[in-house]
Amino acid sequence: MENYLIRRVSPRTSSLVSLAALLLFLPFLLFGAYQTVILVSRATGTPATIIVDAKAPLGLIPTDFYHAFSQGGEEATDMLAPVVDQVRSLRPRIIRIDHIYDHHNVVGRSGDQLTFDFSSLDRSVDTILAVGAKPMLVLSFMPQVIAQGGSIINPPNNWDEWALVVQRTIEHYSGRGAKNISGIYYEVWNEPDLAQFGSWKVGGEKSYLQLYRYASIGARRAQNVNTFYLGGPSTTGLYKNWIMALITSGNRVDYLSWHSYLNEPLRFEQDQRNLISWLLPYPQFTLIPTLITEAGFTGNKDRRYGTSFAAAYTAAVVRQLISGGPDFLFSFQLKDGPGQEEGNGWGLITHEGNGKRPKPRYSVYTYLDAMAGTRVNLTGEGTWVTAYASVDKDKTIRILLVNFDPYGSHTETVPVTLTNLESGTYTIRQRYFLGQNTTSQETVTTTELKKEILMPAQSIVILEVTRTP
Amino acid sequence: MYMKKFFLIVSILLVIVAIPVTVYLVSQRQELRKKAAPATTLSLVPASITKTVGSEFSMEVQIDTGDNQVIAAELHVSYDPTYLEATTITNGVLFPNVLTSGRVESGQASITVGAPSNVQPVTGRGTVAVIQFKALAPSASPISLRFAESTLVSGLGEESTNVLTTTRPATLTIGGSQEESSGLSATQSASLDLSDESGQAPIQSGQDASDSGQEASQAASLEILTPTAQSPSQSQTPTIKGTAAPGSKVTLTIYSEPITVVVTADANGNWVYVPQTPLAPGPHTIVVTAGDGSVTTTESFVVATDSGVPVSGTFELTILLMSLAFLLIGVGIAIPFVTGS
Repeated sequence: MENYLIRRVSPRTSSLVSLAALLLFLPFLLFGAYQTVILVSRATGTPATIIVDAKAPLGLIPTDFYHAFSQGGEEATDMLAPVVDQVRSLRPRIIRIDHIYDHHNVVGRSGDQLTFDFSSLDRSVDTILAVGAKPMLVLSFMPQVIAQGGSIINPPNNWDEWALVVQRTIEHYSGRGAKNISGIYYEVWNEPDLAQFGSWKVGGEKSYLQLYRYASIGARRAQNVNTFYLGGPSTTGLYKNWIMALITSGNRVDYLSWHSYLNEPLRFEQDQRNLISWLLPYPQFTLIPTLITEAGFTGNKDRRYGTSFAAAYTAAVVRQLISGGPDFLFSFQLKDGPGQEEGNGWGLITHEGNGKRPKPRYSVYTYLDAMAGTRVNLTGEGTWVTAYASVDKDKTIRILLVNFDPYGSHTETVPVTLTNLESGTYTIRQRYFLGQNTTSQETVTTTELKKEILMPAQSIVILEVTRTP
Repeated sequence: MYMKKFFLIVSILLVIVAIPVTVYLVSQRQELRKKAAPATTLSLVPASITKTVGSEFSMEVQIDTGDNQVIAAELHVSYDPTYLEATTITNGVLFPNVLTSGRVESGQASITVGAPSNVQPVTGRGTVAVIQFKALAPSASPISLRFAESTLVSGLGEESTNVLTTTRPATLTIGGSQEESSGLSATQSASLDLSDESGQAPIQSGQDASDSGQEASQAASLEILTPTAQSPSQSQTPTIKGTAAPGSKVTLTIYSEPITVVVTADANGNWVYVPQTPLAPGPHTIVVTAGDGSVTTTESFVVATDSGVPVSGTFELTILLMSLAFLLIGVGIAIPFVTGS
């Protein structure tokens, strides 16, 4: 056979066949190499060796910013009403809802005039107020009666009507003679860059800047209103061209917002750094409030939202934003939609049709609140285990450790050293998130105390160290 | 006759040229002063310090905004990691907003901080950030701590993004001995043989002046009354006055000489100190500490130059330019007389 081929196939043909084979298999070769690199990089990393200096203060730890929640519009109803007690227990500062026009039939038409009926939307807003939170209203989507072709993701037939819709919305909720709520954030649209919500661009025929401009005109025309905030662009990620286009557009921009579905918590911190570097040349916008109005490890429905994976992820993200973070980090979302019995919904709480059960992520927010106090210096974080430490007014030192592995099941035993302690006897309590608590006592004769903490995959623990009087 | 006319024309030309040249040169200097006035300066304080291996200490990043309304500062402080390790960098009281969290890497400490708000921009002098260091190895010669070129200060209403015009580095000498000989040390105060106005002898700065129970009252009363940032001192030996808890010991450190002294507040809580060595013209900072060091307050001020105001140009250069102008005018007038025409 070999001799036959040598005899019958010319060298030129042989070269062409070799070249074709090479071209055919090259993508497979590259893909294989790429996957190998990913696997190797996932498997390698730096283990944590935590050192806490109990007398190196870094400033107060904020706890309000992560008590922010978004609720999507999987049902055209007051979705939070059935879970009002559970939501209240989360101590939410602000709750964001979208689909306010299309789900609540706010805008109608009578002849040439627009008519407004806020009664359905009022019920949702009242529920948010009832749980102790401030409503954040997403000015979305285009009311059918004014939209081109009747599509809620299209521009309006008449931009002045869009401005009027925004004006009336603000006057209704922020107006002193109406709902009289102060400090409402109004966000112009939801994920305008997403095809599902219209594929708006920063210019061209379907321009988000035009949508925003007429929203700001409506906001300017609002009469007798309390303080409110108008912002955007609410994109699916932090995109420089959208941010720069908005702040240089000349419109009223009270805050900047975007969504972050990132499985690497470090990316949140990098986003903040990038944003500030873009804004520094624009001093009038450098201090502008920033809101991550939806956050999660994936924008897709995923069973891991029902596991400790999501809780560890949230703690790891909060760790990255504990200093230099946004004004609010909105977890998406409070409650599952219907028909998600298999457990892949984004919610912190299952739908009322599925038992209204809290998922592990539900409990992480109040758990993190235990870290309130003055942050103290902590070094030695690793690839998987990250941490921060605080001292409260009673001089109890707390160290929060979170082992978040986005890809697998990494387990680690973490050495923790506390330095600059006063000598004496200390009570040490290990509080595992949704797990056991253990307490021990140790006597410190030098200024150091050492512990080793077992951190299973996707686990969170708070180490409390209190000097016994 | 021909020569007479020639010198006359030359002298007139000299006068004509001298006047606008003088006016232009002087105005240039004035323009430079105008431009320099709003310039913003960042300094590492203290400017010179001596430490021993293993010692931990802090340095402040201080700002003089000039006439600028500062919104944010992106700081990158570089140092030699062979000798020095930064442990933390935190925001100062003037900039309550941490825009990007402090980051300490080998050889550089960085943080971006912001003013309280756009309607409350930072003006004047004060602390932008505080960096904690640890001395790692002895240095044969002083090592430098400086601002990296990427350091940026942004202000409202300026054409340029970066209003920072001057950065002042610091030098650090690290000795190998365990005995600390800090540039802030009390040895200088001891050699000055200072006493407060009540006639009491100073105590060593390391001496404990209060217990923790007094801290609250000290914090409430510890204050520097004069000099202030708003009123440049006309004297190089300004009277430094303040208040503290009655009878408490107050440690004053005047940067960037630095001079450290300890005074005692009288029965009414007043204390006063007059430097015995004249301070150099320019910016200075007083750090006053009471108790065990937990209660501190800071005030920055300027010692004015001879002309009474701190300026960026030099008085001598202005005189030189004026003299040149008068010389040109004088030559122009004298030539006709000298030539007898």
